[in-house]
This record gives sequence, C-alpha cells and structure tokens, in this order.
Amino acid sequence: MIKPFKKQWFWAAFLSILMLAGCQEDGQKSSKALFSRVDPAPILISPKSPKDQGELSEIKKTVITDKSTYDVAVARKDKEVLVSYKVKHSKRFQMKKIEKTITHKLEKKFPDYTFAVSSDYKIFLEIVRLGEKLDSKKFDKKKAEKRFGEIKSLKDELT
Amino acid sequence: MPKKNLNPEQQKYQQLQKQHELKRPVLMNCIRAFWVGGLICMIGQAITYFYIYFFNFTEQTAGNPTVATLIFIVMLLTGFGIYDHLGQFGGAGSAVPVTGFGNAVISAAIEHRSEGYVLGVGGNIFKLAGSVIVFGTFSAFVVALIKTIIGMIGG
Amino acid sequence: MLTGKHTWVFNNRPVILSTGVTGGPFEANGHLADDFDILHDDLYMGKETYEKAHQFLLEEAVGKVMEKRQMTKDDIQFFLAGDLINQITPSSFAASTHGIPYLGLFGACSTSMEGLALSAFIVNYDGAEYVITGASSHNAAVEKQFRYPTEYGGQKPPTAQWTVTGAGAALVGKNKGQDENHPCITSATIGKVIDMGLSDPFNMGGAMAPAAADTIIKHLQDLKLEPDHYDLIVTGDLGRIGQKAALDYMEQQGVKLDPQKFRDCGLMIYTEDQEVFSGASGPGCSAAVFYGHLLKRMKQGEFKRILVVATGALLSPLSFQQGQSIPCIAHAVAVEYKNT
Repeated sequence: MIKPFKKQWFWAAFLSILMLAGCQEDGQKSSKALFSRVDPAPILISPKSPKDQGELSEIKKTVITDKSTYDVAVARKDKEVLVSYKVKHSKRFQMKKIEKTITHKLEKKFPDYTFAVSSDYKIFLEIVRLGEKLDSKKFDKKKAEKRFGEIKSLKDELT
Repeated sequence: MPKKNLNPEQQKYQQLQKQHELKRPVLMNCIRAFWVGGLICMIGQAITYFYIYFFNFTEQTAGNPTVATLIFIVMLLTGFGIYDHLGQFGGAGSAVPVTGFGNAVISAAIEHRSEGYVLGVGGNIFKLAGSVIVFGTFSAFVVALIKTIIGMIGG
Repeated sequence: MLTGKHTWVFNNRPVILSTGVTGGPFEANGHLADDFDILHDDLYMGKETYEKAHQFLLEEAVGKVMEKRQMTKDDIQFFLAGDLINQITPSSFAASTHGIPYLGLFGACSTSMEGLALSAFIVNYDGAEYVITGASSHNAAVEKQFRYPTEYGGQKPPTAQWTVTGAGAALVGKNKGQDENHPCITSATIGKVIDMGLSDPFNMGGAMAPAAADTIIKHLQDLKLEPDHYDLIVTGDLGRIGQKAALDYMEQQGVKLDPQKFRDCGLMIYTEDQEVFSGASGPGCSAAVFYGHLLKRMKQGEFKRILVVATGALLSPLSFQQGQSIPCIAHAVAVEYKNT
C-alpha cells in the first residue's frame, strides 16, 4: 500500500550504502583486486631459480598482451601454472572463447607446463593474496603449496 | 483481449476521453527504471564481491547466495512497506530484477495471511509470480528443444 | 412522486437528521480531516484483517449517527448499506452487529446515493420513520480484491485512483417541520447503466464520466431545471480525468455547467502532495465527503441546494480479466438546506 512515506529514510538508506561502499581502503593490493588493476608480480613457489622466474614472467606477458585482458596474476608450483586474468568489460561476452584461446596459446608456447586458466575474480584474488602472504613471510613453502592446491581445486569446480 | 465493436457514440466519447486521459510519462519512467534497476544491480554486485572477498565463493558460485541475500532484503523492505514506493517510482527497474519477483511472492504471502496458512498463504503465494514460473519454465523448455533440434540437424 | 422519466420528487421532504463519518490514516492527512467524526491512525484499526477493519468503519459511523441523536437501534426501522467487497460482507456484518433490519445494496461507488435515494423514498412514503443509510470502503481491502496485493511494487499509471478508507452514514427521518435545522432531500434521479466500451480498470474516472453526465442531464430534464438552480453539482469520484471528460461530454449534449460549480468529491478529500494519482474513489469517498464535509458547509450557509451524483463502476476482477468493458452507473440526489 502506498502510504505517506518519509523521504528521509530513503536517502538515509542510500547514503549508508554509499558509505559502506566507500569504506574499502587500505594499502594491500588484495583489497583492491576486485575493483581495479593491481598488476601482481608472478609467484614462483618452486623451483626457485632466476631462469624459472624469467619464464614465469614470460607466461604473464603472453597473457597480458592478449588484447582482451587487462590484469594478470600467475602462480607456479613445479610444472603446474595457475593463470588468472581480468577480461575487459566490452569483451566479457566472449569469456569462454578467450579462455580457450589463451589456454591454447600458452600450451603451444610452453609445452612443458600444465596450465589452469581462469578469468574468475575469486581465483585472481586468491593468487594475489597468496603472493602477499608469501611476501610477508606468513606462509612457508609448504603452506603455500597447500593453498596453491586449494586455488586449483576452485578452478576445477567451475564448469 | 477481444476487440469489441464500438458504436459511433462510444467511439465519439472515447475520443473525447482520450484528450483528457493522462499519459504515462514513458520517458521519465524509462530514466527512473534505468537508475533504480541499475542501483539494485549495483547492490547485487557489491554483495557478490562481498561473498567472493570474504567467503570461499567463486564468481559463479557467489550468484546463489547473492540472490538469496537480495531476496531477504526485499522481504524486509516489502514487510516494512517500502518496496511498493520503490515500485511506484522505479517501475520496471524494480520489477525486472530478482527483487521484483521476490516482492511479488512476498506481498502475496503477506496479503493472504488472513485466510490461513494452507488456503491463504500456500494457495496464493504464487498468485502473481506463478505465471513467471510457468512461462519461464515453458520458454526455457522450448528454447532447449530448439537448440537440441538444431544441434542434431547441424551435427 | 415520479416526475419526468426517472426522477422522484419527495414532497414530504425527508430530512438528514444526523451523520457519522469515519476515516483512516490517509484521510487524516487530507484536506477534510476536520470533517470526520472518527479517524484511525492505523489501517488495521486494531482488527486482525482489513476486512474486519472495513466492517468496523461502518459500524462506528452508524454508531455515531445514533449517538448524535441519542437513539438506539430499536428506534431505527431499516438500515441500507453497501460496499465493494465480495458479496458486500463488511456491510452485512456491520448490520448484524447493530441488529437493524437491513437491505444490502451494491452500486459500487454509487452505493452512497443509491442508499440515500432509497431511504428518502421509504421515509417519504411512510415506509419508515427513521432509516440509516451508509456506504464504506477500505483501501487495502479493495486493492486486495480488485488489484494487486497491497505491498506489491507495481507501477500505477497517472489515471489510477486511490480508494478511500472511510465510511459515511446518515440518518434519514420524517420531516416534522425540521426544515430549518436540517438538510432535506428534495428529489433523486436513478441512473441507467452506461457502457462506453472503456476497459482500463486503472481509468475508472474516464469510464464513469458519461454515466454521471447522463444522470445529471436526465435530472435537469425531468425536473425542467437549469443547471444554475443548484449552487453546487458534485460528483462522487470522477477524478481529474473524469471530471473534465464529463464537462465536455455534457457540453456536447447541450448542457453547459459552470466549472466552478461542478466539483468532485474525489478531488476534495486529499491534498495535492498526497500520492493519489487522478483522485480518490470508492463508496466511502462520496459518502464521507458529502455526509461530512458538504453538509457541514451547507449548514454554514455556503450552499443552499446541491446535487450529489455518486458514480459507480460496476466491474468485477473477473469481468475485466475476461476482457469485458466497464459498465458504469450514477445516481443523483438533490439536497436543500433552508437558511433563515
């Protein structure tokens, strides 16, 4: 029923939503990873050698040079590589196709690795978080490997 | 609706009446619907991000708890008598998102509470939303059928 | 006495001895809040359902009528009432509460004047000494039946109207030389059902306008009167659209009314900033405005003669869903107040 209704309430609700949305500021990349480009550094869990590091950067570059992506996170454990990227908004309708071409491209270029490619924000976010935990020494190698497996299983759950 | 044959007097009066009939402000309604609908979807997106960020949901799986949350919010708004104001203001903007569906179900449930739980709430809860379910399911079936047939022909 | 084709002239001049008007919260914020006897600040009015609240509104109005004259139900011979809800149960239940012999009426929003005309007729021809007539409506109960659930967020077009939550009742009694102090009913015209083929249930005013126009014209023809015989011709619930359409339609038929003297109850009751679209409607609208507001103004000497034309749209939720157009009716009652 439409009864006399105080407009203040509507505005109060509206403003509180805006304020809640605005309360998202701290220095960490992971806190912004859902909203803006953070360009995380590639994460190498093992084996740690400069050569592997270089190759991982190469993988990242391959993905980011694809014109439909704008932010890429990669993590590697032995021969397994997790690749997550954000798709430009105008290209989001072709997400499945993009995933296919990127996987194809990577597998062709780096035949030694197995890739898990996903455009899911959650996986992206978790890779960024994994990197932060490694940097701040909260995670040792073992824990990082475990988390890597968990993230990978998230990808496997997606249909 | 069957078009009735009008006699000349009726036609004459209807023309006269047309001059005075207030038109729906279609353009204004569109603009409002755009903003209200957009705002609701923005809130939905914020809730999705919330579930991705704080819980173990991926972009795909976060959809379900988001819908549940939105429907819960609408349930409260409907119960407190706010959503109908939003509906009058936003029109399609508030009716098309899942919130509109929730409102249709919940308002019917509230309305018919007085007739008891079985015949009132149970019997009338889908009074408005029932046709959405029926035709939604049916059109999904038709589309799936067409897709299957095309798939079979096209190999 | 039948005069002309469809008009009764009441030579014994039955009087309206007292009135009772009740309303809901939305009316309390309207223009005419002061003219209500009882106003409720809650749509449920302490009852479990809207239908019971609806019934309660009418009960209270009738109670108020008797209270003002210090009468009991045993003094009243008949009770004539109606409303919009299925099988007019709120009115019937109210009649059961008061225990006055009862005639149920259905004339949609025209019930108020249908009841007043019949009451006057009964009293005029010695059928009774005292008759109470009333009409009521309850916004949420009517919305529930005719449209969507009250909390449903559907968008209403600007042609829609707002059903009044209110009831008005009047005690019609024999004229025992009370002309001076009370308004008396001089004549009434019974209208015919007019269907102009409109079928939009969100535009009742437009559909009802020709019925009102037809009844007014017939009334003036039957009594051989000019429109300016009345200080005010007031329609029940035509709303913005219907009022303009009725004026135009009458002009086409050769009857020119002064727009200043042609008012609508549906446009009087609420203020501009209340979201009521084209105006108010419902049996309670004309009953509450006429019995409450207009009679008061008559007593203050503002108007001497007024013609009240209550309009009703005789549709049901079933009929418009089946694509039928909206048949409409209007009844007119002329009321006079002699000032000394």
